[in-house]
Amino acid sequence: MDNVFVENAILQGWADTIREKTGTDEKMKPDVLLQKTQELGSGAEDLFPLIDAVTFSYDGLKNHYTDITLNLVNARTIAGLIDNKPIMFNKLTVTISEKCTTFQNAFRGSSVTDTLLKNLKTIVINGDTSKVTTFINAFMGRIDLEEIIGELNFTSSLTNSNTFSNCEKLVTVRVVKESIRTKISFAHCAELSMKSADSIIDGLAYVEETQILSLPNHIKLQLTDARKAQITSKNWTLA
Amino acid sequence: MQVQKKEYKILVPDPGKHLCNMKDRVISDQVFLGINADPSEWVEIDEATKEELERKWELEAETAAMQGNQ
Repeated sequence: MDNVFVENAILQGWADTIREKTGTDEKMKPDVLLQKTQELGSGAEDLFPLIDAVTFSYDGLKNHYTDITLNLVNARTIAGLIDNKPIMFNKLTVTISEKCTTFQNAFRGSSVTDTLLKNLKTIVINGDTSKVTTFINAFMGRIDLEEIIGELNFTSSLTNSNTFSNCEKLVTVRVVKESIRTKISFAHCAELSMKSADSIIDGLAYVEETQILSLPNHIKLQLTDARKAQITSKNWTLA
Repeated sequence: MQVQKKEYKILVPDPGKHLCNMKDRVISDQVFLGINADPSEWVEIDEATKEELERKWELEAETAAMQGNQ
């Protein structure tokens, strides 16, 4: 028998789908997963929701893979996708759909200063994040991350805690206009561009209960009075 | 043509102090208050307290994150 390495997130997604189809909440070992899949028969077509296609780009000179692309259009969650995993890729491209409802810990790095973790510079998110209800810790700890390509839609997000904590090199991020409705912090993003800050500010929705937007000092120093008033007039406190 | 009046309230701590919102776990050196914000949610803290709170909150966040995927 050949041994294969399967990410925990894949098994988790597989089990979640079986539980959803069978209406149970039992925990299952891998052999039980297979048995349940066979029992479901024709209803098993979406039992591998997490990854539809994976492609790699190989750098012959560096002798390792540099980019990875994941097609996750059927995934209902990408929670913990590469959570706390050493990443040798420079660029990760993920395609999702409106089926995806959680980004919790999806791309989280680690506070451990392991050089293997210091490679991921670009994350591309293709698809609609408007149904995502939590971005908690989504990019937390990705200390070498420089750019997030793709417009993040926070419309349904109930928590943005630590989404960008310790993203010290993050320069580029874009936000869908007026989609942010709950506290969010970019305080650790010491390299954040003004263009990104503008997108974030335009991304603030008017809120009934005061929320806090944290921006790095170098951005706050550049904001005009009009821009600050724009933030506060939407009932956001700028810290 | 119209005249627009832009105003905001700023909280500025005393020298050597920082502003802290314990409920939302935010520390800052200058806070621009939202139009309906309650200034009493912010208190002044010293540098030692700031460092202690930041360490505590970071540790709690890491611990919660490690448990979050179980």
